Amino acid sequence: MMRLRILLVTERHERALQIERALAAARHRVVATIGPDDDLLFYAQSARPDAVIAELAAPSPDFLEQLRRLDEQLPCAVVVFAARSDSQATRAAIKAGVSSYVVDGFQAARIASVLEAAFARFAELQSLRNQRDEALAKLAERRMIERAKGILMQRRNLSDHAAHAALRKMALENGKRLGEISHNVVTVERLLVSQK
Amino acid sequence: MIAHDGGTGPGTAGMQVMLVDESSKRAVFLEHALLDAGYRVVCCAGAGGDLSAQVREHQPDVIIIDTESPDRDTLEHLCCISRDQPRPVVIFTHDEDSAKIRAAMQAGVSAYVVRGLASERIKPVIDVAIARFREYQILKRDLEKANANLTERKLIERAKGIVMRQRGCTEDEAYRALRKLAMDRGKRLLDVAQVIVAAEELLTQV
Repeated sequence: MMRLRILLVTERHERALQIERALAAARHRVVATIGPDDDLLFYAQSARPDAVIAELAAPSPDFLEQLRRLDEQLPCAVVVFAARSDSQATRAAIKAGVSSYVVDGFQAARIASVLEAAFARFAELQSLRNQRDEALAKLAERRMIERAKGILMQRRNLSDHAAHAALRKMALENGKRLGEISHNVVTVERLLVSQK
Repeated sequence: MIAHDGGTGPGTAGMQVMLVDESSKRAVFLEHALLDAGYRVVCCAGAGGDLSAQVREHQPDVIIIDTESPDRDTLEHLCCISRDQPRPVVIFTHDEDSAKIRAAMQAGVSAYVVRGLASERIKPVIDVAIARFREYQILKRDLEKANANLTERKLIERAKGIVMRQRGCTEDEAYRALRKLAMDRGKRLLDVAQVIVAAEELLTQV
């Protein structure tokens, strides 16, 4: 497995040392250690970790919210060791993008394999998310092209085919994608119509 | 938070578990631990059976596999299950090989636990697996929906183009003609578009 940069979240100094040693043995590196009340996203932005490992008594709603924001803005593999958790907190943590959630199972010796599973799962999930986002972007682009075509057909009295050709020509001349040009057309139309 | 939740999530009671274990001794231990935690074990299979068939027969809510190391056959079966009859899958194992872990994730395994089998931890592990499984299914459904929408849109566009060409009409007229046809026949727009595109293909091939 590749060497990972780890952002560690824990309140307990001795735990931090223990985790750091176990990670070093697996050739991973802790790049920053913070507490659960610190601004996770802020430290993640500066430390750029490959994975976050949090070791907590129980994840608070605030901490879960921090994880959710991290997942939104700087997605990476997240491992949470919680001393205790109920089903509800577990569901909330998974929803917040936690890749490995281990309840009452902290053992320094297991940390590398848990991290490995988290990393693999994160990669899997991320690839699925990318596929979904790509499909949604294509769909949005198609809708935009349709709308732009409709505007040209109406304003310049063009056929469907001619409107499409006009958009393509414009895209080609401006070195832009059809979707971008269409977006411009729709924006300008909105601007003109709303100023009337 | 509801006070009586106390770690017992909704639906845990009587949740049906299929257990796959290559060691009968460990199977007995696991079965007891599962029963104690409030699960129902509907099937207790040894290694090397036809997992897909067993899942189809017993329709478990969760699949738990306890193995020294998940072999290729097992992972292949899990791939098929994930595709055809997806279920949360938990693997307890001793194998921490990277390639094996990655292969398990790709096969749709919801929890891969290395050397972490202790009876009091079974329920939290299953909880996590189920929560993750649900999130994953939502994501997969979103992806399928987006892809289907895209295909549908492309097909309708093509059908519209065909009608425009054949009738020499505008896009708007073509669209309305398609809609009317769909309505008259009591079909979806997509179905009508499919027929038109198929007919066009057939006719232009000749």
